[in-house]
Amino acid sequence: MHHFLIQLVWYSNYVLIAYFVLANLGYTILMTLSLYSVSLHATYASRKPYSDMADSPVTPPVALIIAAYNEEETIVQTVLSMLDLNYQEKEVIVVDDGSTDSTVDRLIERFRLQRMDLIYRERLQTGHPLAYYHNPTFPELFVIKVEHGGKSHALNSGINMARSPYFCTVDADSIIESDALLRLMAPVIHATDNVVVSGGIVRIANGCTLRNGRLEGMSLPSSWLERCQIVEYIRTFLFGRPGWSMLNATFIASGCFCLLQREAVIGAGGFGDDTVTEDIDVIAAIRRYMVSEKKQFRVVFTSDPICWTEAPRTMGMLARQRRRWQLGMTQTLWKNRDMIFNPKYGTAGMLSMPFHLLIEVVGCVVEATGLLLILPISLIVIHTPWWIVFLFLLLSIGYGTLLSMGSVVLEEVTLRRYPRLKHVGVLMAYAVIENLGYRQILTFFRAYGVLQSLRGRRKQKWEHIEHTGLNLHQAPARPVEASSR
Amino acid sequence: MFYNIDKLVLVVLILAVVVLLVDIVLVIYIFHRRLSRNRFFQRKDATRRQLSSTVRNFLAGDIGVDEATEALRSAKSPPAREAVQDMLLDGIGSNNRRAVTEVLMRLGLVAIWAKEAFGARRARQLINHVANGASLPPQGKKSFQGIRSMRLFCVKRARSVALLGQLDGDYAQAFMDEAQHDPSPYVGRANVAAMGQNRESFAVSVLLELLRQAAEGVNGLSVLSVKTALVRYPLTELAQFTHCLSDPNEKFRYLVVDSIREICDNTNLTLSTQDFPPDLYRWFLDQAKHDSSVDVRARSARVIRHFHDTGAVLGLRTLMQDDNEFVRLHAVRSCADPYYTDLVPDVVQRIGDAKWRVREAAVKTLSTFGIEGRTQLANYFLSTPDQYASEQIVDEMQRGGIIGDLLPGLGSDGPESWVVMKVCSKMVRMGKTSLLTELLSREIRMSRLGDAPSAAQIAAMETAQKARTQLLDVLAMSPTPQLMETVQSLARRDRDHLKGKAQTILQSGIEANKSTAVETGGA
Repeated sequence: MHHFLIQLVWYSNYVLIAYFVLANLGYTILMTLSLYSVSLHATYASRKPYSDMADSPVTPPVALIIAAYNEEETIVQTVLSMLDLNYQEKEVIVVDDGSTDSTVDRLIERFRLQRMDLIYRERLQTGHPLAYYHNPTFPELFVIKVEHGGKSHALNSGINMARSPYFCTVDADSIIESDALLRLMAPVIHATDNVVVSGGIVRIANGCTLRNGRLEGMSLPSSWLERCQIVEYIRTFLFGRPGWSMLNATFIASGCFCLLQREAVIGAGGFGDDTVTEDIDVIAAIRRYMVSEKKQFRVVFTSDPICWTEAPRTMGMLARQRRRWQLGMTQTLWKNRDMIFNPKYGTAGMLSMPFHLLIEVVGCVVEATGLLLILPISLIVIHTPWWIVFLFLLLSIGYGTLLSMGSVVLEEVTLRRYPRLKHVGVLMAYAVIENLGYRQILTFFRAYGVLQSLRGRRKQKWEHIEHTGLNLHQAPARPVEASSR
Repeated sequence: MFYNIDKLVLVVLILAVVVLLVDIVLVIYIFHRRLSRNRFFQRKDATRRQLSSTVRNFLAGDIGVDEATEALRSAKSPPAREAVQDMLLDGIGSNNRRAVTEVLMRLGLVAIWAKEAFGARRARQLINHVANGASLPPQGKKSFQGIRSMRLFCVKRARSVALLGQLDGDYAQAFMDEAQHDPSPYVGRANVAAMGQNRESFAVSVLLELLRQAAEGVNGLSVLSVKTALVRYPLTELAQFTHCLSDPNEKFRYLVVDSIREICDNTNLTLSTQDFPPDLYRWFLDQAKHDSSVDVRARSARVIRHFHDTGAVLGLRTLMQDDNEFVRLHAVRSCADPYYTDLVPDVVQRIGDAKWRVREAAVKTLSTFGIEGRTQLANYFLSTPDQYASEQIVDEMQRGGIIGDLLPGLGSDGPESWVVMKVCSKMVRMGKTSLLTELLSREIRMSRLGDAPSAAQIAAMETAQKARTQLLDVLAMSPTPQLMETVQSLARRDRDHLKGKAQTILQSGIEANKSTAVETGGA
């Protein structure tokens, strides 16, 4: 029995080492591709390449769809930020998913909305909204109230209400930078392929100052948890997704800020409610639809349109969020398992989806098992020398630090959103700190999400973030001088 | 179990040390970069402060090219040169483009950009050609075209081409022509964007050719990129578009017509036939309506509307009868111009179109015709039995704020009151009461007029109050939960003149409920 246990632990060690090598090899390749793509894009984009698009009638109209549930604290700021975007032709559609707070009342009050009975063409099955609100003096803004049915239902209602050929999903607690929509649309205009999805970067706004829908004071939050998330977001968005985009293999585009072609989404059946992350699911559905229709298409990720959002401030909130994301990814991969290693779906089917399955889904379970079970057994039962374990951990943490530090470098080289050197110093410190516990904790949350998926279908629920991380100011905005740096 | 544990440990140790060293290098790099950038921008700002008045005077034409060149020659370091370059290019316009180009040439900046874009030898030949009129030797065959088209090696070239494209036309043309031979689509895109910004006449034919190639998918440029540049040109360049209208490629023809439409729309002026080349004008009136492409016919309507003559009226009328819904849609939208009041009956006819997009466009177009359009809309609304047309009209009347404008008419003594009453009644019958109920809930108080209101103010207030009373009567015909909520609120407002009426409605509602309850109980 003891011999069997030793054998088992040794083989598990091999699995762990293989996972470690495979995962880090994958990340290194992605990092290299991202470094290439992001830095070149930043160099090219540094000389105002979007100015001719801003006032061009050729730039397609976009509907910004904000699905909201109990967002009374932030909804007005979000809508103000959308109306203020530098984009010629846009609609802003707020879909209230039966909020129990005064989300709609705040909008009615701020924009003097009137209740109306408007035409609703149900291209995606949603049922008719309960109420429509509009004010002819804000012709771009429409608010509809629907029966509580989850985020997918709300987004589909927004799609039905929209008229523009493209729509952009935006979370109700998010702030978009003034040129971000234009930058998101740039690949649609410049690509020779049919761009059906264009994703942008999501950054954490905790600690920043918000004035009338605009982020003014860039700063860092005080808590370690939020700071770790900032580094993590930078790494994810600058060191992962651009790489996949280069390979035309984007599998995830954050629904928090994502531009989609309306007809492609309708063709794909809209946002589904059978996974808890409708944004991941819809990309797979669009790929499936476009391939079945034999249409040329491209899913792109652009590294400079930025959307700012609030991140969880407590460990409990973070655990719920990450568990849900992991559960959603697992559900989507399971739902679309026939696409994995299927050459019909190109690089997404052959590279990206297998990578997400093996490294992102199975990997976190392997990692959690290693940390929780194999490591202690190796040390206690088979007496592996502690310094070997220590060296292995050192390498693992060191490599994680390298990835995080690299992403902070990339942020500094390209976007440079934090003006003070002190902020960059703090980010570098947290590029090290987040590898000493934070990432391991996340691994457990994610592994729990995977285990949850084994227990069957979970109902889609709204994720609630307590909005206390932003410094809100409603005072009249003063013009901000654009910095040339 | 491990093959050689010592070696493995050594490998891990080496890797760990390498990783840590790289981390340290990255930290040093970040700090170094941040500090060197700060120094760079400090120098750039210093140059700006030092030379901004000179540049401002030069751009305004107060000082000449020689004087400006002498003054700006002191900016030699990269940050100083960049500051001068930015200031000059930010202030470049059609009135000073030639002079700015001269200064940039003399400062050697054009040579630097040309070298980055085309290589040292070719840059020398090009500069010699544009500056001294020397003949330009044919371009030799470039090697490594595949590598040159890679993004890694073309970003700098694309940026330089974009800068060269901002020069005066006589100079820019040579560089733009040269850039067309670049294998990279990024450089091609930058060149096209520069052509759009420059708006030099010579580039129109080049852009049209690029548009054709993009439509055929052979040049690596997107149709929208080329179109974005093309539509920036003024109306005076339309003559160059005429020959493309008879091109056999339907998609290209459509893109050309659509570009012409955008150029016309961009002018923001009321155009007439005199503004268009005769051949182009005749093509749109005589041939566009017979074009085999639906898109060409549809977009032609949007061009024809700018002619503002009887030919345009006839042309639009024909297109409004087209078999295809998109052609009808665009034709109807094109009539949204006060000149085309003769077409109002034709637009009214389209409210009953089988396709909702056309119905919607017709209603929107009519609502732009002021009082006449709104009267027609109201009359059509009252007379039509078509449910879809009625819904479309109500939708537009709400979205466009027409209901809010109409309602005060309910309190007047003229025939207008009768029409508004009928419109409201029909809306109530259709169940479209939300907006009416909301408008009813807005209290109108005489006290808000102040201490000494004028007779006109009092009369207007009385009319508004009367309109609200009438509105309550209309809405009470078919009470909804939303209305009853509003009535309850009205009944509680002490200063509202509708308080009594609201209480009566509530009372009658209660009694009606009681009698219904008795009848139900008796049964």
